[in-house]
Amino acid sequence: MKRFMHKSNLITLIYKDFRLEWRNKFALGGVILYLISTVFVTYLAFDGVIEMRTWNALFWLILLFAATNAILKSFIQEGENRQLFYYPLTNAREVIGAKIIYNSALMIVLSLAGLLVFIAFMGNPLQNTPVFLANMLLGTVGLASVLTLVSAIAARAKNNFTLMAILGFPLVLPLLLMTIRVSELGLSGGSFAAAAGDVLIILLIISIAVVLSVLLFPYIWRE
Amino acid sequence: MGETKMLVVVLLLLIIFMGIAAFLFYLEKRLAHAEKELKSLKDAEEKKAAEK
Amino acid sequence: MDQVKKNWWKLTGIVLLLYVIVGGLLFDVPQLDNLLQSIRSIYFHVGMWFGMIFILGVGLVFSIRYLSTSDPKDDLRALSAVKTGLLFGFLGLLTGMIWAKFTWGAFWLNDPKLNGAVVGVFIYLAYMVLRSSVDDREKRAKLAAVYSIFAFVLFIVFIMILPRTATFSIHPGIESNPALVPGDLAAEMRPVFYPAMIGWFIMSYWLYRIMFRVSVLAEMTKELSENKKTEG
Repeated sequence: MKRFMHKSNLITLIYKDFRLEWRNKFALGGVILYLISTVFVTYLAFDGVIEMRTWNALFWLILLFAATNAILKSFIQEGENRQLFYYPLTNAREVIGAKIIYNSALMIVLSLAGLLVFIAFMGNPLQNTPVFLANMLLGTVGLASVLTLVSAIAARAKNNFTLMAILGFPLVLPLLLMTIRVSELGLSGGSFAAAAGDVLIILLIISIAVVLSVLLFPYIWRE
Repeated sequence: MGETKMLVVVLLLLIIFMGIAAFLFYLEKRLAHAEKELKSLKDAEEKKAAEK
Repeated sequence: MDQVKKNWWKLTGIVLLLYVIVGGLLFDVPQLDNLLQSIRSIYFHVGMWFGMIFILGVGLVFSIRYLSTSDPKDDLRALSAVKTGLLFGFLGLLTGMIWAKFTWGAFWLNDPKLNGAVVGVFIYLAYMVLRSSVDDREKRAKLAAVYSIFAFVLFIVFIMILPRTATFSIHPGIESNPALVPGDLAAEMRPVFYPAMIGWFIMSYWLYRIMFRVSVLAEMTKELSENKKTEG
């Protein structure tokens, strides 16, 4: 462990998160199953009324719930004892940075899986695929960067999905509204140029969330 | 007619607002009183603890 | 006389708002199509929102200060500011709904500013829930401070970008936040509008001070009774 930490704590921490996830494959499988079954329920419930805008709204809502679920465990998964073990080895900024990067990667995987399931069940309305995919990437990274700190707070408060949701949903709303707008452009065949303004705002939100997370996390990491 | 009605409304609102302000001042007075009382209680307690 | 000296800012606020009641209801206002006389609500309704943002900003300052001082009083200050902000938020919603009913015929419309306001209220209700779910005092204060800083910044971003998300709004100035842009407000309304805003700021600060003193007293009583229990 010490040898690893010597090299680069950030990379080691991200690596550790992946290892942890891999060792606990059922958890990841659980989130993906959650995603698929939600999509299926929605597909049945919205039978016949899915046009482009509904498709879009449903897609992002389901991603939001999946993200909340997946990111919630990022701090709960690691028990207090393990946290104690990290204290002398690394510092808070690296821990939160690694978590955000790891959660972003996780969310990208989840969103791709979600997209495949969506297309399989509800058809493929994508007209400008590059715009849609680029926006999906940004949106999921955004969800990860806003929700990671919230999950740290929820985990410290020893609480569950409900607390995470009521703390997180109002905070991701600006990001979500923007991504849904750009996503609609991708679905209706709009160009990159048309999305530029909104994309800049999304980037701004992501950077604000990341900077604040890195600044604030040290205060709640140790008790 | 409309004018006088309006004046009555304004007067009423003025009175209500002044009532609220007066209530807030009254609250502050009570608060100051309670603060003093609590402080003396606390001091007494500390004294007792010191004597022990 | 001593009392007047100590409370001069409260008296200023009271005088300002008394003037706003008279001026707001009796002075001339521009006649606009569907607003007619209801435009006068602006002095009160917008004042609630400005008051809310102002006092939440005060809360933000104390949240930040708490993180460096760890003084439980700063935590209580931040909490009291949030409570006051919520009160103003609810009043803003209420006055907005009444205004909307008379001008637009419905209490609720899907409007970006309205949604922004509701999100603000949600955020700070969530803040209260977060506080109630942690027992340890220091931990609660820390988590609450971190959440409120994070949330306030994102909330402000939200308010600023919200107008972009709408194609329709009952509020003027879809592309920006009017009322903040000096030229937007009719000249004859300014002599009432600006004093009104200052008056509401003072009112919110005053209410915040009272809430703070009440919560300090509540803490002290709790401590005293706990001490008694341990003794007995």
